[in-house]
Amino acid sequence: MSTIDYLMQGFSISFLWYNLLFAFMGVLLGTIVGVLPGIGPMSGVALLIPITATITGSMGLSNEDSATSSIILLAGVYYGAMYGGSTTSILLNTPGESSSVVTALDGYQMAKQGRAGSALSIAAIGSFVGGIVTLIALMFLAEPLSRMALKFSSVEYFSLMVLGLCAISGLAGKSMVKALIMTTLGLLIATIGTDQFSGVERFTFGVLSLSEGVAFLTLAVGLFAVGEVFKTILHEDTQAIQIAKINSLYPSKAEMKESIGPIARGSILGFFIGILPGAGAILASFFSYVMEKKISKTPEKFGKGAIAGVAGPETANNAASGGAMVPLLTLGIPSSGTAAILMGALIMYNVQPGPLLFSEHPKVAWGLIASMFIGNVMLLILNLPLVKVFAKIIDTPAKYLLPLILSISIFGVLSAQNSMIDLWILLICGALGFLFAKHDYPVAPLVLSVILGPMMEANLGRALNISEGNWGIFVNPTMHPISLAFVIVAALWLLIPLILKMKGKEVLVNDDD
Amino acid sequence: MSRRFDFIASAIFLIIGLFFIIASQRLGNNVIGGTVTPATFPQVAGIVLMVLSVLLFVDTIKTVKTTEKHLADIYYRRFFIIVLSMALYILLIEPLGFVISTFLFLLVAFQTMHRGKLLSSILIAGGFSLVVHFVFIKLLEASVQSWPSFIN
Repeated sequence: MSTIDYLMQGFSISFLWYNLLFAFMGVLLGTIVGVLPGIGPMSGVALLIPITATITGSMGLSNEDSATSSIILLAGVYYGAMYGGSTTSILLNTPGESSSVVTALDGYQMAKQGRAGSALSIAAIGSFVGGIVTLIALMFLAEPLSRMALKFSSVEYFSLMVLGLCAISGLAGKSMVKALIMTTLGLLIATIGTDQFSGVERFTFGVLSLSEGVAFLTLAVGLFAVGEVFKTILHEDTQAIQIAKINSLYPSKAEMKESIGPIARGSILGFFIGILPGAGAILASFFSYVMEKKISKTPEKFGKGAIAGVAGPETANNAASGGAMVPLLTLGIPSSGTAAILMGALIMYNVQPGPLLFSEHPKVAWGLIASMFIGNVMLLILNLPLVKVFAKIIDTPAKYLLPLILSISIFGVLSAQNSMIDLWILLICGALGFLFAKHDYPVAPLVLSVILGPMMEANLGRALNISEGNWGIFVNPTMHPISLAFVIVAALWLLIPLILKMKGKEVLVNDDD
Repeated sequence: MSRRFDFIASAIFLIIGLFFIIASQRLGNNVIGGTVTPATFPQVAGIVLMVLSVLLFVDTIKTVKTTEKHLADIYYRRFFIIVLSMALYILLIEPLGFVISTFLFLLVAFQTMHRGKLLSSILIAGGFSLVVHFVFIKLLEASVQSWPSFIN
């Protein structure tokens, strides 16, 4: 079957009534998550995993169909949040999530000049184009990349995972040491439970429910959702905010013309940055802004309401969230925190993302890709007329919102795990998540390494058995040149920011995405 | 960011790393033959964590002391009340069931966040727990117990 045949099959899956509904719910909830300042895409996706599991479970779907429907909804939340984040950036100068920070620079200025409608619609159109372009690229890259990855042995895989973890740590948070500590801590947490090879119980202290390991879901919901709520409770109350007026919803011809270039460049830039591990949507939007300003004939307009400063970054951040799907689906290596949580959700359904995904579970892979096409169209239709409604959501009083999120977390973890120990782990993770975030210990690398840990260990075991315990196998230039290349890139990823820092240059960091 | 936290954290991470290394020793003996034992991976990660915590300690010494912004006590009070009521919520969710414990937790939390408007707090807390009960527990059959066991 050709790529187009597979895509058509994917469309037939995503056009099933319940999958359309799932996609719709996903992008709607995602937009809301993007608008609400207290809750980011990672928390949103983590919170919704048990809820979707409950819904698919009660529908009596097969395991694969449940996985497809769930991932359709959860991915919708991911890219929906990218859309939603721009709305509050433009209207209120308060980015709903971090990848929309740059959008506020020019978007809010445009809103102050009475051009809020143009900014919002350009952001929506840009996001749409970015989303579609990356999907097309994903479609055509997925198969060849998977085929290449299938040739990897455990040696290459282990080095690739090391690279993924180093890349995330190199760019996450303000201190690389702290990021690396979180990564290593995640790897250690991943070892708790029954060892997959020998069946030996490790570090369980005789607690029965720990023999299956610390549940990923509990960890993610606790560290992100509960942690974020705890953090916000300690924040001073936000004052009542004035929402900018929206006059005309559509951009003028001149504005459209001005935006074509930034949107085209943003799509491509965003896609490639999204593929890179560690560099997420926030870097994509930042780079796009810098690039547009450099290219522009009138760079002095930037920061004062240049439409290119909205079109480029908004396109790029959406393109990046699509690009992040490439390493996730083809290699099984998530390139960002949110992608790691999506991967955790798939694993919960016994669907292993990676090179075999397209041959073993074509329904999941192609159903997801096709549904992302539909989801992007839905977002475009949904966002423009409803933008005023979404802007109102930000007025939801924190008084009600924060306790409700805590309650949803408890309900979700209890219904998915059915154990009281998990609720206590949830509370502890929430407190830790809050403390970590407060003191600049990034949480995303920890979650990522909890997901990758078991696979890393398995590949390490296989590789060392082949080499009879010789660790040099990972850097052997004649037998495993690709592995050596991965190791070198991983080392550079950590060393280059260090050298730049020593030279006194400021290094861009990825706070969360 | 406070230096004191980083100092304590580096000590704790050092202990965690050491713990995993020592606790793994026992595991290595369980498997005969083969170069990789269940202890290999946690031991390597434990060593890496110990090295990193030393680096964190050194880094922290080098950072300049910064003064922390002090928040009003009211925020700490509401933080501790909500964390405490969440712990009580977890304790009570089994004996009281989801609906009653959620209602109580939300009511306390809403009022802690902001005093007043008792009626809307009661309505939202009650509405939320009942909606979850009917939609997720009844309709979608989530495995969560709604009511106290003596009612069922």
